[in-house]
Amino acid sequence: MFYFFCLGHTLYKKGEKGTGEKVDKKQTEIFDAALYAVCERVAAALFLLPEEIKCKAQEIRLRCGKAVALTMPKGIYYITPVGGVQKDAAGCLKVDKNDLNESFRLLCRGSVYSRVEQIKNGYVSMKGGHRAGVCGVFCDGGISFVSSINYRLSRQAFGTADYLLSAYKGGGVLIAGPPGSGKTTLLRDFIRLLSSGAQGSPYRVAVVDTRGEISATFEGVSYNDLGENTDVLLGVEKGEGTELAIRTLYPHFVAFDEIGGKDELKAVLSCMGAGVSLITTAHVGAKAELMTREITRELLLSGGISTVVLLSRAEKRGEILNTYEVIKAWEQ
Amino acid sequence: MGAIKLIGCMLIILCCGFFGVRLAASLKQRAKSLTEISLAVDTLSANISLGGRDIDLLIDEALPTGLTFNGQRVFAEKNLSLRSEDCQLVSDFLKDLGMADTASVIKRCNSYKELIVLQQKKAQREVEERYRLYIICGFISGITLSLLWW
Repeated sequence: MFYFFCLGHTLYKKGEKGTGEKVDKKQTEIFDAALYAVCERVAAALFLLPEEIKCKAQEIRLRCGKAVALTMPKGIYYITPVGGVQKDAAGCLKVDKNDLNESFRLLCRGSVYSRVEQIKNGYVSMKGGHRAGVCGVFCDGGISFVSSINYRLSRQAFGTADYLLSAYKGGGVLIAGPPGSGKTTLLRDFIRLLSSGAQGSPYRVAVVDTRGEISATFEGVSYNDLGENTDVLLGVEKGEGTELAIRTLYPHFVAFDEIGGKDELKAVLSCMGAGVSLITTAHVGAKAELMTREITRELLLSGGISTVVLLSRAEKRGEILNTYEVIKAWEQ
Repeated sequence: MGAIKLIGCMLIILCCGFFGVRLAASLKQRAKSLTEISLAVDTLSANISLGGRDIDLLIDEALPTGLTFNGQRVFAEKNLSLRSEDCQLVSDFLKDLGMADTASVIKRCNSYKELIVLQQKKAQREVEERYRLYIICGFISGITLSLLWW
């Protein structure tokens, strides 16, 4: 079987036409390493993908009865059984129930019991700092009948926050944008720059990393560079973690991903008087939603945020907004 | 000639006796191995209740020396004297053991522990019933063969 696999790969490589694009080997390796959690049949096809695709892929989506889909910066592509990509799902590699069950088993490394809390929240942390979203029938013991798995590949992009750092004048920062716009990537790089002293003197940054997505920590090993002066609180809820960090770590900044609940907001607001600035992200579709969404409105009106970065899927660089102007525009 | 015959007879008796002793020892060893497996289930159950670590690591740590699990079935070294039914029982227990929440996994550990203990009791009864029998039969068959040969 392995022989045919190698033969197929060789034949495919011979017929492959290079796009001439520069391939980042490290990014390709990140993609290949994440395949440990994908069932053998699908992983074999994904392994055969051209390197140009591998290094840009953002997500791998397995849905029961549907074609294997790859989310790329330019849209969704489907995988053919011989490791090609196309825009049309017809004739592509389809995922069946066994593939999903096997993938779920590999994803949890056969240890659902140690990931029940994550599964109840709809995700499983992966080696390499990636995160897999899991859908199915949720029950007390976790999940039964897995219907789809979405592998979100975590890639640290150095230099993405340079423009933000040069425009930053102190205070809290809210990075807002729709899912997949690069909020966490920007947050991660901004933390690294602040912590490593890119602006002058280094700052102490406390990261409340509930899901291990910012630091890409898996089994105690952190796969992302967050700078020299960053402390990471793992597995703790954001509100609780923020209070804990301020009380024990004396940070200049507290950072966490995806502010969502009222409890988190309450904890954050109670900490604002402590002279600590907050850096966080929020799901916002457009500029107007900054003030129409309750959580972001309250956050902006609290005065704890001075800079808002509004990201979109189309543009790499986000729009930097002054909170005061955002509030003024909304009031008018 | 008589002396050679006598030495031959002695060799036959010793060989048959040794065979009987080995069979009897394997009965004892099986009971001992099953006791070790039952203890391993306890260890596994305790470590699972602590949470955090992956099941394959916990299984590797808990299983007695000579017993290995490849994710599908258990392989036992010969000196453990386990029968295929014992290996099958342990394989069934370990296969996909971690694919549920902690409470269900521990419940499964407890029910399989009962089955393993039952198997161990059977093995112990066999030891009581057949241990001496095998040794005596070994020597008696040796003596019978020697007499026939004489």
